Amino acid sequence: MYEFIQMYELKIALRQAFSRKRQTFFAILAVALAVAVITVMMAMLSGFQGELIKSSIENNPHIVVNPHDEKEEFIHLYRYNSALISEKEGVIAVSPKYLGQTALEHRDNAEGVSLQGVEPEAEDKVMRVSKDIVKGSFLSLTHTRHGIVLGDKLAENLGVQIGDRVDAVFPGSKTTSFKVIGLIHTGTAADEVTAYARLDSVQDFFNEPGIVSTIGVRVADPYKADSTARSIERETGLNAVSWIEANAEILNLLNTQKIFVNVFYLLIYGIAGFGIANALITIISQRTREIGILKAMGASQKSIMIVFLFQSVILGAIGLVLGTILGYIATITLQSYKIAVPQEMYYGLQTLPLEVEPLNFVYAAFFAFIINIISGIYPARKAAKLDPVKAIESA
Amino acid sequence: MTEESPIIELKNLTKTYKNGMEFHALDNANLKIKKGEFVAIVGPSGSGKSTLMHLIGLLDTPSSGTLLIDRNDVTNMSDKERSEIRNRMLGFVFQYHHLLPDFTALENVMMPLLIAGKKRKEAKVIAEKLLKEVGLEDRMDHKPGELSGGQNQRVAIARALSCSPAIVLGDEPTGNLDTKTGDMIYELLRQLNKEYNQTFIVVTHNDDMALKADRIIRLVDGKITVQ
Repeated sequence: MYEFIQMYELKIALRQAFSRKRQTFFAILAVALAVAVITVMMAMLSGFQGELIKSSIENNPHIVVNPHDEKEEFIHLYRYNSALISEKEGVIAVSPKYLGQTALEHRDNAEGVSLQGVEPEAEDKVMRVSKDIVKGSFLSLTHTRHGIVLGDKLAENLGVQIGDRVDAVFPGSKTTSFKVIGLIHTGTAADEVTAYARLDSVQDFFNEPGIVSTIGVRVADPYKADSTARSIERETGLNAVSWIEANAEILNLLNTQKIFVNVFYLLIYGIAGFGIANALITIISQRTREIGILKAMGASQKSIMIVFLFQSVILGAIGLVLGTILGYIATITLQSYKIAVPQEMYYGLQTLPLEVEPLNFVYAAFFAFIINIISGIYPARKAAKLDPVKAIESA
Repeated sequence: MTEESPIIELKNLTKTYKNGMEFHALDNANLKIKKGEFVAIVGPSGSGKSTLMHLIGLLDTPSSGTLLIDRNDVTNMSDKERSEIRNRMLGFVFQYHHLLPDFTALENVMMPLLIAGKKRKEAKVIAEKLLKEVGLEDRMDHKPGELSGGQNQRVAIARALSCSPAIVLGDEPTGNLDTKTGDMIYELLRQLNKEYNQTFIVVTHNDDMALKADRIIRLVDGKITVQ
């Protein structure tokens, strides 16, 4: 005979919630702001994390293979080892690299550089160097025995242009002349010291044929890099470090940060919850007599409770819908401004990235709703337990 | 005892307030009220009239004694059962109309019917009929703020009658109105009482009105002195 929720309860809740516009407005605003702030923060956080992982995955080898212990400087039999690694499941590209410190000279200018001897096509697959090229071409290294690609800052410091020649000078090595065939710009400090040349030329220059410093590996699924690295170690006896391992510190930091951020979210929700509870308590104190009358008409305690829980749900629902919209607009707006951040502090990120992650909005809204119901319970219970005689006689 | 059983029966009904010292707002009251009776409760202020009304109206619970409504002991019922009896068997008219300010006259009269679980359409038909009967057919869509005191009180009467309660309780229903309007409201109550054979219990300060009742119950210091 009695349904759990009756239409009249909803009707009274709706009518009461919207009859005092100002109160309703502020309660809704509290929830809306909480949801908006939290969605923007979530967008910043997942944007930051996403960008960090993306830059780790995109522009770096997923796995760096080093000599098997730290005392050794070089990997011998690199062709054999590279072949072994490229046979592995999930491996897309393998790039052996000889890394040496040397000086480059042009006329009266000299700069210390980190000269990287690479097989251009392999390196391009692992490191996506071509996408950073601002002038010339990276892959033309393949057929230019003594070609060199420089970081744009480095070229500027040396005062060279495409087509100019630079001399590599190293004690005990025969000074070798390289022709500048490309300039790269990564936006990091590397632009001042990076120089790429062909692996065989660099090996010849340092008189170290047949060995490399590292082997870079790119895999199909970056999140499986760890297990691939382990498998490479087992098979080659070399030391393989995945990007996950290399960035463990940062990833850990992000996880720790998440705990703090969640505490922060909880506080914001708490404040919004108090906003709702406060609005409801005010509504109830203004409607004490009406509650008494409803009881006299036969509304049970449960009904009164539902009437006010409904009100908190109505206010909260509008608040969270507005909040998600507001949060979305704020995120989009912030996205369109490039907010500069100090590079050292943010691991090489230049601007604050924001990412619109739909699931974040769902989480924010869902928790807002839960908080809402929780903060509605106490005032609603109080209303339900009101003594009808006192309630009716109250002014 | 050949007469039919009373619709309301009080047995040693007592309400005590402990407010530092004990105070008997109602002291061992024994009373039987028959179906269809129009009873006036009189007495000085503080004599326990309102307490008696609240106890019979199931808005308050007695400290001791028994209250029977339609032969059912309602003294120890749960909130849900008491709410149901209030809804189906009792109608209230207060000194102030106590209408819900956000709802129109029609909606106010429909409310007890909706609480009873009646369909909107059904409730509307009944409420319209009652508002017509109290002479407000052209004021049905007005909210309490747009009606005069007498009109609001008539809406309140229509609301009290909406669930066809066996008992209508009036706590100084004309106390807040001018004499002429008060008389009209009182006449309306009396007329409805005769028409529907409902039991009316009305607290009043007005001796003229009390004299028009079937029976006068006088309360002094929580005790029933004259029946």
